[in-house]
Amino acid sequence: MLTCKDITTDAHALLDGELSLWRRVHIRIHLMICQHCRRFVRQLGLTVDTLSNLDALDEKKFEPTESEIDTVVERLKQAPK
Amino acid sequence: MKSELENDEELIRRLLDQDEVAYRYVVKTYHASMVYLARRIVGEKIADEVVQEAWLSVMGALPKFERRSKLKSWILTIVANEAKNRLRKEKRYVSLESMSEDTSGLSDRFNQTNHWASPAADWQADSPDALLSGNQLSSCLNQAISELPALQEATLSLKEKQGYSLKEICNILEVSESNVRVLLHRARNKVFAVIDHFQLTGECCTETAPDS
Repeated sequence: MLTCKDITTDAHALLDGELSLWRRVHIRIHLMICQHCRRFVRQLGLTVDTLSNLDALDEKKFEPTESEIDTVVERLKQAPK
Repeated sequence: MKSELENDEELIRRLLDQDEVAYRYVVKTYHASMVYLARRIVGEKIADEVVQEAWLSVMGALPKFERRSKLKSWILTIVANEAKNRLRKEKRYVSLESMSEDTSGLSDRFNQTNHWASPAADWQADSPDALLSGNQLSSCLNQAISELPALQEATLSLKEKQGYSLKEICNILEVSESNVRVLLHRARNKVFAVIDHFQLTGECCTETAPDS
């Protein structure tokens, strides 16, 4: 029988589609009887969806200006081939 | 012109021909990801230098690129290598594989039989927009993410923002697949714990102890 702690570990692999059918069935059985784990799995999914909305993970703030592009390209053109 | 360059093969061919349009395209397209990753590994101060070196390495190694991964993944692998080499030179290198104790904020929420002792609050939100309504949680999470250990933050960005698979992330960061999982799960758990605390108390708790 899976414990709630097992579910919090497996929930990530479940969201990422990495679990076998057998493991998924075990998890579903646990979720049928455990409201706290149902909530955890649902809200972990919401956490993951929310991450893509956050500025902190956004690399776009480091997009180069035209003059930065010029500088890098000039160095590349002058580099020994 | 641009659509042709979106094809890795065409882009590589023209880079090898030293085509200036291709140079500009590749810098414009990939530079931000390179800076982001370098900053995670070596810090803000020398990230730009590391990226400049990485560009030279990319162009130097391009004729030998074996196409076993996408061009962007391969470029990011070179950035990660340059960054790690830089840390080694400055004797700041700590094995990026090293994993210390989990401080994700969930490990102490179970009882002795490993069932919930302190279950998550009911967040009363069913979408990211609903969850982030009002700027307070959003800025709290941005702060929490910036406090994550470097590789956790990089893994989170590569997976959740840029859509890389776990296998691609292992190749880029050169850590084992099981360690990439650990990094990702800990980072997500920490963000989960910060949201949960906010939902419960209305307060932001972002003190995160560095653990890798």
